[in-house]
Amino acid sequence: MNAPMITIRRTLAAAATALAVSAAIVGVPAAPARMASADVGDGERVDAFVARTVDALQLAAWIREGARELRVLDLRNRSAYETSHVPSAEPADFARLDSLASRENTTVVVYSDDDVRDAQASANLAARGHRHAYVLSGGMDAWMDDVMAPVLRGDSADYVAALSRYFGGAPRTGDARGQQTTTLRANGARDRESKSSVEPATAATDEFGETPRRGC
Amino acid sequence: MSAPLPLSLATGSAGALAVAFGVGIGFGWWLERAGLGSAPKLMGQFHLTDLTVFKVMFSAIVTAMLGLFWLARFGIVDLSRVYVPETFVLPQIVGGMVFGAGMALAGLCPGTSCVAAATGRGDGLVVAGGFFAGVLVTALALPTMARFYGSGARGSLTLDAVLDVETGSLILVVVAAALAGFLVAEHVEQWKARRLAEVER
Amino acid sequence: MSARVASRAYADPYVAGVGLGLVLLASFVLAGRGLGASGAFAAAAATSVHAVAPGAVTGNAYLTEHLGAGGPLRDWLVVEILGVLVGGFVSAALAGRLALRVERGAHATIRQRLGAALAGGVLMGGGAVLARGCTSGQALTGGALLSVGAWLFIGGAFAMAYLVALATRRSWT
Repeated sequence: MNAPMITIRRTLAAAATALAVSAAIVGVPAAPARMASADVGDGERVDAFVARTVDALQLAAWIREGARELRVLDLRNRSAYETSHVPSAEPADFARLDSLASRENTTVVVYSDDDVRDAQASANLAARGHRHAYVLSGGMDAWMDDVMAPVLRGDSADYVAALSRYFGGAPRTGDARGQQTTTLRANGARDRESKSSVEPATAATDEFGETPRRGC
Repeated sequence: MSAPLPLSLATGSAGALAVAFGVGIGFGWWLERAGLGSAPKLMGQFHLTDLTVFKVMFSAIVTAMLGLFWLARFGIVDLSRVYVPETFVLPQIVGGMVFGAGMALAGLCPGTSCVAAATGRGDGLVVAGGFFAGVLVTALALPTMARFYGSGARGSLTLDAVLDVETGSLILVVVAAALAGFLVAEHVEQWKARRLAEVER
Repeated sequence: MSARVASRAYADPYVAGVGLGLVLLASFVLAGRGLGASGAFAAAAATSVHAVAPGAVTGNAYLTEHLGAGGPLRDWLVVEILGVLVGGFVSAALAGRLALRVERGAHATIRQRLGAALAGGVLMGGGAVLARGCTSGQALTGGALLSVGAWLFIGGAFAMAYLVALATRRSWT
């Protein structure tokens, strides 16, 4: 092989090494701006402890966007986790919380089936220096209701539908969740009919008015 | 200005499609430059005689990985707006295996088959046609394996999150492994060439 | 002496790889997404099915997802693949590597080669649908983004490829 090519290869290798070593020293790329702008209420810093919450749809959006420094922790027992859990969630207990390094830019969302446990976990994280610790408001139930089987209505219907389908959910229309509704017929007799319709999958648009990202 | 450009450009609009076309030209260009539009050369990877595929792929991965890290670090790119392909554990392992078997039979992958076809190679055209058929048939059959298809869903999960390490540290490991791999690759090629020369004598 | 211009040698693989990586990086920066190939074929498949039997598309989530609102020519990946065709063509043209032929091993007939090409293509199509991508979208793009699924895909694909290549090495010698 000729000399210039050897030099080029060596230069590339040296550049890659230098950049990689520097990356390891630096540790993390900059935190995604979106995390900071999440709407969780008053936006105050957590000093005195008040559990900050995030709703299921917001969490779903974070997961879907691939927010890089997001950890979702499921504090329920193992069999509950295995039955179903929020996608990308890890099973965890309080011991795990303690060992979770609090990195500057990490956002941690915890959930369980017990509000008290959620609050304790969140307090625990805040005390350990996690600046972006949230509780998933409503826990796994909220995830199932609001993301996996949301009832679509209003302006956000398309966005919610797309988000739900991304996670393999089944959005539905109708003003009742598969409940029976009663209609009054002209002669006073009552008709009961089930009103749980599932919208057929059509390419809906997300919050930016675009069709959901497809694969590769 | 922060990249990626506002999402309204990212799909469907003329600006986004212009980017798509330009990126595609670059993609096709470099694949052909490296010789990856030629099935015999690609197969060299699997016969260990010509490890160009490995060298190109991992040079590209390392370049893009380092570039993205540093652009994000300097605030030029907002990482949360870069789409990370989702993980579906079992379908991707199994799909990978099926894909790999096909690639070894065809000698080309979908992208390189397009390059091959564009440069006049009939086998490239046939591979692309077969790929189209395979996608079509499998897509139509998907509802029958919906459960499997959606299994192991982890969202946009990255290695640094799973391994609970800092992104920068993982990048160093990947780069070190790639560079070591390149050294090994050079040796393997030379060893293979010597062996073949001996056999011919 | 032959009047044909000899074709130029291929570029150094590391240089080409860095070039490819920069293109991938540009894609991340300008479009917020990486490269891909299989998605373009999926869009084509969805469009074809839609033309023949629209009902089959609406009942199929995968096809619906890949059927763009404005038709295939407004699909990011389809336009990207058109670029790939152009880029590959131009590079080959400039290097004297354009040639109408079927590339194959010395002892393989054209029929054998094309049969394997077809079978291999079909298998790759199945694998790519299951894995949500191929070597461009998963291995290259997903690999650079450190996606877990992408690296699982790379592992599975290369392991099987080596096995199958071992079994079929006769056809390439």
